[in-house]
Amino acid sequence: MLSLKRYPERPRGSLDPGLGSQGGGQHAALLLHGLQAPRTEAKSLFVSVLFYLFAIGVLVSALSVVTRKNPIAAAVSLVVCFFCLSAMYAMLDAHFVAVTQVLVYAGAIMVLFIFVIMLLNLRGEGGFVRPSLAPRALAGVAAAGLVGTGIVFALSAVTARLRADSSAEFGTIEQVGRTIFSGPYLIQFEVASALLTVAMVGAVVLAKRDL
Amino acid sequence: MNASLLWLIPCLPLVGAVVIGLGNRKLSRIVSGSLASGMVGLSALLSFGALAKVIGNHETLTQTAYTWMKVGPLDVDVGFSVDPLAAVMICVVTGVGFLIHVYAIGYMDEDKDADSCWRFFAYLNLFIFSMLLLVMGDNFLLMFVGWEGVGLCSYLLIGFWFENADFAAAGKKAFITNRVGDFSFVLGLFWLFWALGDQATLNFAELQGVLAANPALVGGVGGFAVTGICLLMFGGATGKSAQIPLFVWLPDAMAGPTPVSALIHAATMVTSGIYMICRLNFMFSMSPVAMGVVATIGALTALLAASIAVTQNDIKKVLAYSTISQLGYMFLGVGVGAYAAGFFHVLTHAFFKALLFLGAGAIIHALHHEQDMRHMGGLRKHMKGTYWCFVMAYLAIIGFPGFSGFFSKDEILWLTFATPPEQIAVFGSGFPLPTILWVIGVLTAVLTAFYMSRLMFMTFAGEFRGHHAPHAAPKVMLWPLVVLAVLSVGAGLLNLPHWIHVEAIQGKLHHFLDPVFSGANVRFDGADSSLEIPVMVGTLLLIAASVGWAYHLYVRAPGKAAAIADKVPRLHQGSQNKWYVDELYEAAIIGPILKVSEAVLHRVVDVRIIDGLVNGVARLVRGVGTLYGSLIHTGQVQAYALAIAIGTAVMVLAYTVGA
Amino acid sequence: MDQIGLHIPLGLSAALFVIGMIGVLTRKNALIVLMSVELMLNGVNLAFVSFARQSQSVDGHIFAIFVMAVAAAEAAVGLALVILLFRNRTTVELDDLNSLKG
Repeated sequence: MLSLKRYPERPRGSLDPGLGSQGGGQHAALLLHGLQAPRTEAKSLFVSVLFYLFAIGVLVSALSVVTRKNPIAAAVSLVVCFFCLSAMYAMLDAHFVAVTQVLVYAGAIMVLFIFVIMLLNLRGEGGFVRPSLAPRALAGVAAAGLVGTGIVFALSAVTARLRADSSAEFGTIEQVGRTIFSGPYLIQFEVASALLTVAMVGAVVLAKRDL
Repeated sequence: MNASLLWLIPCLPLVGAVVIGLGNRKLSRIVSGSLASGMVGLSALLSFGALAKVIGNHETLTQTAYTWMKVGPLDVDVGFSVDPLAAVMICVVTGVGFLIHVYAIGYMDEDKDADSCWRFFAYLNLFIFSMLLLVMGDNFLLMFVGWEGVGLCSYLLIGFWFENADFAAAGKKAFITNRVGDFSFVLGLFWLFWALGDQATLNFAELQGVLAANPALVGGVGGFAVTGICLLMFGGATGKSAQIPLFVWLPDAMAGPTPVSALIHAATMVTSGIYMICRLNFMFSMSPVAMGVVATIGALTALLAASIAVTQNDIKKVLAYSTISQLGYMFLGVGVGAYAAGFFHVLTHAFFKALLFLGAGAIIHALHHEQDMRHMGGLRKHMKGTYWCFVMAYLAIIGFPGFSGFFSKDEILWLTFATPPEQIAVFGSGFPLPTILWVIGVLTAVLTAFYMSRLMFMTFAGEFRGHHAPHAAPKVMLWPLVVLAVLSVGAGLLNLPHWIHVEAIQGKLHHFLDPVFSGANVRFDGADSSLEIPVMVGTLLLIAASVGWAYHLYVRAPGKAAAIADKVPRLHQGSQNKWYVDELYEAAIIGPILKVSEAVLHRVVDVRIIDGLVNGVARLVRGVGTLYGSLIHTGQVQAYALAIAIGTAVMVLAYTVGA
Repeated sequence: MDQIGLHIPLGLSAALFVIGMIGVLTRKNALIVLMSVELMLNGVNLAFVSFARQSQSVDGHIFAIFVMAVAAAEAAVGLALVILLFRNRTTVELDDLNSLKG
């Protein structure tokens, strides 16, 4: 599994599958070490550009979800959106969340969605703007726009920048696990699992034809 | 008899009314009647005690029961004041009232009344209570309470047999006509209160003092304010005492049981107008114009009513118009300033008119509610006791010398003749109004003698023309008649005229009432006093001729009356139809009012505006609700989500932009 | 990462939320509405994660995980309802579901 730990803490070569054998690893280590100092700025530029790229990906795919006529197209767009989001989480040192995002959202929920779309054999009907309900579309957009305005207004007061880096074990599964199980969130965690059980039972009861 | 017991006099009948009223139909005729009579009897005893005290001590008994209202300059108590005038009046009211209560026990023995007798006696007691309040009240407001109360009881009792629509309508007519008068009275009261300014008082004694001290408050003698006030109050009196223009209710009021007619429409309620003017003599004599109006209307009413009575065939109607006519005499008396004489006539009239009505009641009762005189006749043989009592009253009313009516009527006529014109200067001081009024008075006396003789002859003389054989009156109805007969004869002794020249027995009532009327400065020097005896004799001769003519027409030559009527059909018809006064009122006043009510007040104001407003509000609410429902309750989930989104937007904006 | 202002991920989170809201209010197909709801939740998750990084506290991550759990439960039940709906009315268009009208 690719570890995105920040260099220079990253142990040289040992967790880097792309650098081949020991000899090649030493070569690469010399290379990297040689390139370290002048690459700091380039690295940070690269990171920023990547961040913006993924952000644009999220935005475009989200818009796509909302505007596609075909529900399958919308579902696939949503999957893309989740992936981009997962990448962004990873860049924000939320390692466990990033993984869980792909596993749960893209892997489980979207699969469920696609199952149901296929099951109901839905065609695409009605697009974004339906002439008979255009006023409602406008109203919806307007309402959302109002909310957005408020948020933008609030954001204009934000002048801080993202932290340069995080601590080594920030966002790792160890830290998250420790905080949940020996921290203040144990009960909530157990309740969440109960919630999932209830939801499961509920879904089965609702959708069954006969017991 | 102590002044502190004064409150009992009106309250005993009130207690009687309440007890009988609450007893509902469990009390029979005899029980409720006896209870009612007992209460009035006790009141009568107390009244006579009060009278004795007032005669003995020459004082006015007063008692203030409690403070009614104290608002700014207005200070009104529930207080009773029994001066000589009131003392006599309450004795008359309770005494005659007692006799009539007892009589009524016998009269109301019809089967159809068995269940409602308790109501009758409760109302009668209530009436006595109201009348006593009117008489004994020491201020305008308490008198007005009594004034309204007697009006109410009159309505209740006239329409006693309310199942009959005509009787109920008569009751309504009485009440509404009274109300018109009451409105005038109240306006006068307001004006008086307003004119007095910060000296304002509604207490009679205080008022007399205030007006004596600064008469300029009401414009001085002959001033506009005092004339207006007096005329407005006299307007109230015309309603209550059935004078022109508000007399139309009294003949219809004969729809009530005869004891009611006797008590209310002969002896007591209808005299309250005269009583009021006597009470306010100090104010009325400040305005010659008002006095002139009172006297003129009194005289004209007397003549008008007498002219109607000569052609009526219903015995009670004749007596009703006779009452109106005699009330006219009383107003003539007080109008020219002869307050004591007018009040004396109230007294004598109470006795003989009550007797006439009770006698008529006995006749009607005996003939099973036959009231048409054309079906009577020859009752002298069948109802001896009633007949002789009736004769006493008859002689009194026509003014036969020696009977009470003679003394009272004669005094009024003479004092009218002797009034100086400036005392009642309505048409200017040069106009000989007193003489004209005297002529009208004499003419009325002649007509009175005529129609009363006609009544006597048609009822008692000749042969019986009716259907069922009559029976004599029961004892319980007879002995009140006897008592009243004695009074009709003897009451004259109370105020023998001065030409008797026996100091000890003459003018007793006059002297007794002197303190009450001393505030009014009136004189009667408009004519030579040596003319008094000739005038009286002349009047008596005319009356005798009238009686003789009636005898001729109704006993000797029975067909002659009809023949004369045929010669003057218009006059006869007009007289028999009450000179179409009711029809005139209907066309000129009542009809238009009803039309306007229907067309404007009902169709426009009530239906369109008020109903429109109320229904409009309902429609508006329903419209808003429907609109709301169609806009918001669409059933579309996303519309609801939109609402939530808008709410969120508002909140976000409020917190971010607003903060 | 300090070249990027904090308002970028936060603005993106807001944009995701708004886009999701537009989808919920505007689309006729019930499934697409559910997907838009997921979008909104993800926007929230992004905000949580950004703030967690700023304050170096994993509480934000934990909450994001809980959000995901709830989103999963909600998606499951919601889809069961859609199936039920389709079974009864052969349509999943929200415009046709107006029994609450009036």
